[in-house]
Amino acid sequence: MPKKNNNHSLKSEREKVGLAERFFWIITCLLLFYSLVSAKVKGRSDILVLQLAAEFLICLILPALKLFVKRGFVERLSFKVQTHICIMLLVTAFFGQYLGLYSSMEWYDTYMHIIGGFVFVFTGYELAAAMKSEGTGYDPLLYAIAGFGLSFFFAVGWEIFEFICDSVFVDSNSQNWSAVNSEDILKLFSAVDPRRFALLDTMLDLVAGTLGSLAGGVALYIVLKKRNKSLLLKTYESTCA
Amino acid sequence: MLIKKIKSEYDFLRKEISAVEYAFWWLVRILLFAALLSTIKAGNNDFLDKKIRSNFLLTFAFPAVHLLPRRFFPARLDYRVQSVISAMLLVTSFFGQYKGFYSTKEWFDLYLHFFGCFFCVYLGYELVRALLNKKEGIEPSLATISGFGLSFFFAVAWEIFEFISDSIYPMSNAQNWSCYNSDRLIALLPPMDPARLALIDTMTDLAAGSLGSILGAIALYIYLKYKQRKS
Repeated sequence: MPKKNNNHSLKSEREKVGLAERFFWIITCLLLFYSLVSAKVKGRSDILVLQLAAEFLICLILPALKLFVKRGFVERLSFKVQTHICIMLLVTAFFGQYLGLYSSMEWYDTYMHIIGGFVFVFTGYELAAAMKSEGTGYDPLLYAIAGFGLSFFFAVGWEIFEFICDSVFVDSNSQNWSAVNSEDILKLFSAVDPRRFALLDTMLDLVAGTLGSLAGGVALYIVLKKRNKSLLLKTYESTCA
Repeated sequence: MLIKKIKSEYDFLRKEISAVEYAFWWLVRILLFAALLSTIKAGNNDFLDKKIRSNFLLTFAFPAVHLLPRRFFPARLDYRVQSVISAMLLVTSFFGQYKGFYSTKEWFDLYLHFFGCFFCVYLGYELVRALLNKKEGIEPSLATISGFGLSFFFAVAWEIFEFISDSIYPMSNAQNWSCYNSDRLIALLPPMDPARLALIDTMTDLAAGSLGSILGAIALYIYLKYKQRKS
């Protein structure tokens, strides 16, 4: 089996980003820009405006990098990552922060961690795929494990980032250590010592993220297995031809 | 059939680890057994004997798994994994629990998370090798990334396990949410609302573990690259 051929097809598969996906990026960018301007005009809190501005910039980072860096890891990194970034920014920044679902829906953050865990398994896969050198084998299980593991790296990284934010900014409550809008959660853990309340949000986030990552790992493995089968078939057909 | 299996496993063991490592496994077992006897003799030990007993049994669990047919992936794990398990049991169970370093040395737990995650990168790599049933030929960057990611999975799973323990047993303080013996750590961090104190141990554990994982990944990548070049 010519491995190089297999890799080239894999790369082209990775590069395939449909029109719908590109349209989705633009919509997300526009919505984030609108929410930033609207938050500024309506005089909403400075921290929200700052967050929305940062998130709008995050939305532009990968396309900008792709525009200026034409080699190495960035060149190999699939545009699918931009779709993952846009999904997460849309649900967290636009719906969560701007429309205020984080504060009005108690379980919203938990759902976000499930979705985040799931999506970041795929992002982890894309990162791992971009690190792969040409001419080496392709094993769906290895990539599924890499994606699964990296999603935990993102989850822990996120919790550490929130902890730093809460330590630097006095009024910050990123880790929801004050258990705001957590009545149902507190009811679930009614026997818990009140001194442990600060841990509830963080630990629930990690549990939810783990569930999302497990589901994402299984889904990614199935997708890669199917893709590998069709790639092998295509390679076989082109070799025969 | 069992004798044949034991013989083949013995060959694997000879190939995968050195005599010094094997002696180390037994040293850890002897130390834990001595700690167990001493704890039982002392009595009134707040579950310490149960913890040491289960850790002592754990030192035999991994070699016992190798008695399974090698078509089951745990039986394919490299014997060197037992050396890492033994090292971790020595520092956590013998020094941490029996000698009481967890309660007397403030930074002991943090060091353990750092070194634990450093070695978990290697454990993750061995897990991947066993799952893929490949002794060689995994690209170093992918093998490292997988091991690195899995070390974070282990770290999160450990915190969830501690959280569940603390939720089930009312007297449990596995996540050190009561900030026992953490005065210097609290002094190091910026002043914070007392309601946040429960988070300190968990978050510093995760941060120390992350540093350990990053260094572990660098070390593993260098090792795998060196091995690849040599072969």
